[in-house]
Amino acid sequence: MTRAAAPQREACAPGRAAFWLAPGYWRFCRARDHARSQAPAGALRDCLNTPPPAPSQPVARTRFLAVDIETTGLDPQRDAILSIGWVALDGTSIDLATAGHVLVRPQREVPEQSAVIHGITDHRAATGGTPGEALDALFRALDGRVLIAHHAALELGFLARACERHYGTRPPLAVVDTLRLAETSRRRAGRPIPARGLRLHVLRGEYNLPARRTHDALLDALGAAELFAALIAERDPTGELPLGRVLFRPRRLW
Amino acid sequence: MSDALDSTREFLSAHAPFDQLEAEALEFLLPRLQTRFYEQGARITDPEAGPAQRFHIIRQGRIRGESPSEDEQLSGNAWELIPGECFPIGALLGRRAVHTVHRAAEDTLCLELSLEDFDRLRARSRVFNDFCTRRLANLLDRLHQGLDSLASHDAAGGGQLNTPLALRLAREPVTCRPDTPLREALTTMRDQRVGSIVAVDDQAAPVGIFTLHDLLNRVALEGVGLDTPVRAVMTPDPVALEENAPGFEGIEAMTEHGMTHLCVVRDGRLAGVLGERDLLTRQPLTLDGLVREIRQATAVDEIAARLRQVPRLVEAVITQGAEADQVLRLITRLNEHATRRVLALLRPQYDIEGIDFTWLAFGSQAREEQALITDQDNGILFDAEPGDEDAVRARLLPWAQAVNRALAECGFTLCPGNIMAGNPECCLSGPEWEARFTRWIEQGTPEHLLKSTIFFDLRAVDGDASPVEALRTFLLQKTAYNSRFRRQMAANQQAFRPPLGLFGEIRAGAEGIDVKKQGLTPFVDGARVIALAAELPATGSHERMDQAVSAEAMRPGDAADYHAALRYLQMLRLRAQQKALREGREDDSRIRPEELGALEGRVLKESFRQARKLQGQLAVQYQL
Repeated sequence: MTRAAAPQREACAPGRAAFWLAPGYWRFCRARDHARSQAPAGALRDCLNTPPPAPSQPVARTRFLAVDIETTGLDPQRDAILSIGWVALDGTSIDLATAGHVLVRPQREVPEQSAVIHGITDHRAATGGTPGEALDALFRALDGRVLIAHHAALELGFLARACERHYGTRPPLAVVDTLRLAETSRRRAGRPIPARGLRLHVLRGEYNLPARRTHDALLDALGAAELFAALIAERDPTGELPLGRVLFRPRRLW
Repeated sequence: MSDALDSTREFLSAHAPFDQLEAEALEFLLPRLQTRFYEQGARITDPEAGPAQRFHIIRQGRIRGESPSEDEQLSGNAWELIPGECFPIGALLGRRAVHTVHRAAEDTLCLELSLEDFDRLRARSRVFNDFCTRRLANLLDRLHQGLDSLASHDAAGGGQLNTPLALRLAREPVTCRPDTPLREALTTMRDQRVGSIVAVDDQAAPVGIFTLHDLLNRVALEGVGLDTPVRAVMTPDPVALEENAPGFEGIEAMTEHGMTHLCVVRDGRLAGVLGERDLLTRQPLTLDGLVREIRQATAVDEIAARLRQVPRLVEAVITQGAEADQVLRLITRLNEHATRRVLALLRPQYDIEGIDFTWLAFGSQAREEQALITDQDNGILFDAEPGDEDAVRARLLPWAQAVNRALAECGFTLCPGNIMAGNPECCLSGPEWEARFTRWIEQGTPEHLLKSTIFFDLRAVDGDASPVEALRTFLLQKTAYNSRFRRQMAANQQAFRPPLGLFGEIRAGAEGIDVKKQGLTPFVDGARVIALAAELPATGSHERMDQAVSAEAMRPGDAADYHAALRYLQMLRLRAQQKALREGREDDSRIRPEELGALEGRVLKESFRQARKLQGQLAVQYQL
């Protein structure tokens, strides 16, 4: 750990190799500390209390949590979270024992067209917990880990909205977006990207990953985890690649 | 969360041995699995990396074992592995490094377990431990379970040939005394509605059997009075088997003796009678009928016509669950009946009366391992005064040549190597045979030996068997004390290699695999080398291995694996031949591994691995 641009205390500490992203990272750390000061005691505060990994740290020694969220629609302002699934990775090794899945009891009824997609009906959703319980469970799992998601903007949007509602703050999260990673690797290799070519199941097919039922939060989380392992193996099989090179930095949040 | 691992559970439940895993063991296993991805070309294990640390189950993709040297190939690890398969079990069990580099042949996803959890899983699960320690036998059991359930479903309760005879006895036997008058015995038969009656002595041991068939031939047509005692018209000393003998032995005994009924005894006392139908239900073609027709045939083409029915019969017997070696023995028996009948039919037309000779079988017929499509390997051992040999041979040869032609008409193709009784070199007196064998054993070149190996499997088919046994004893003594000869035999045994990269390159070749040359030959040759070295008198490969265990020339565990592998390959060849016959093709032993199911593909691979293990052991023993 180096102390280059650590703003307040030692919570955030970008590595020397990651100076090029320091301004963004600095803003990220500041926003994170701000969120920590606002978060009520509990899972989110604990999670934010653990320092985020340095961008210079190799991927192989970083701990991740692949997450997928099923929702009633695509608009974080209007639609609600139905279920969250996750599975942890140590480096690129997926630890199946950590797989978790929570159903959320929605405040409104589940629209029919979304129920068709993910198979979560009113009846099933009614067995779930409150959104707060679901978020607590997720942040307990996320403690000390970097979030992985496929098309992360959507997950982040919903998480930010939900956190605002339940914790009164929008915590910035270190995120790897497997869709972006795949897109970059394809652009770099000069390969054309066909329409819908970046969908999770299409990409998984390209890496010979087993076909799975999609639109199930846990299976999609597992799917994203496996895809992440495949993308890293393709880019740098040793896993010495620094984390900063795979992190996703959405402008709106950082 | 209980449903969190469902997709992995679902995957495991489709692959042996995990589909049979105890629920408790599965719950132990699932959360301990780690998933890892390997890019195409990635090395997953490395012989240099010290003792193996992780157990891998292939979730998706293919892994290729790369053998750095020929030695490594002998260890049998150079295979392509496909989803559901596991590695490196041997290295984990032996706490050693792997012999082979396992490399991802394409992008591959593995489920992995640490060495400690692998050991704990073995301690918890009998199924898993069993799978690890006796993989082939375990897989075969599974395959048989599948086939058996298929077969029994198919036969709708039809006889399973491996069940003991006792289970087939439907009723108490109907008996009489040998001195009971015929009228009384027939009345009993009518009242009891049975087709046969057994005459028993004071100890209830069967002494004779009388059937409705006998009524026609020996009573009605002969005009015998009904007051005659049963003793006069019964068949004395009927075939009797203990009640715990498997159904198949019953069929074999009936075939051998040409009987339609079989007495089943318990400690020597009659327990019941079984007809052929009780043993072979659901079968229009009867074994006994076939044997009888062959034995009563009056012309060669009649025999040929009967033999053409054998494949159908074999199919029925296989459906009923007979083991491959039993089926092959059955085919050999039928062919023997055919050979004897051909010999007898042609005898009157030639001047060979007064010559003492034995008709010999070599190769598969001698080993009692004849398959559906087979060529003839035979010879004659005759008795002659010294100096008279050529004269006797000159009398025998025309007849022998006629027999060879007749057998060819029956479907036994002429031997391409001319190992046939009609060849003067295969029609020899006892001392001449001894001289010939001595030449091979003491001076044979490797090529010589390759051609002569089948002579070392020999058996008497017709005529006095004692000169053949004397010849066998002679040559076993010769071979047991000639290590140069055995070493050459062992070297020849290495010639046919079980195929490598079974599910990879060869599939692209579109040639398929020759089960006989690449699979059976290593076992048959290996068993022969061991038999010759340890002076074992058996000729069949299975019996040779059994005797090798008794003679401590083979470890019992290895023998069990070899038996299982050989039996499986024999069955595979039979099936390939059946298919070839149905489709009217020539290439009888070729199979396409990709047409086998996943489980069977693994059994096949494991069988080839056993073949290589046997080759490896001989190579070490003879320092090849």
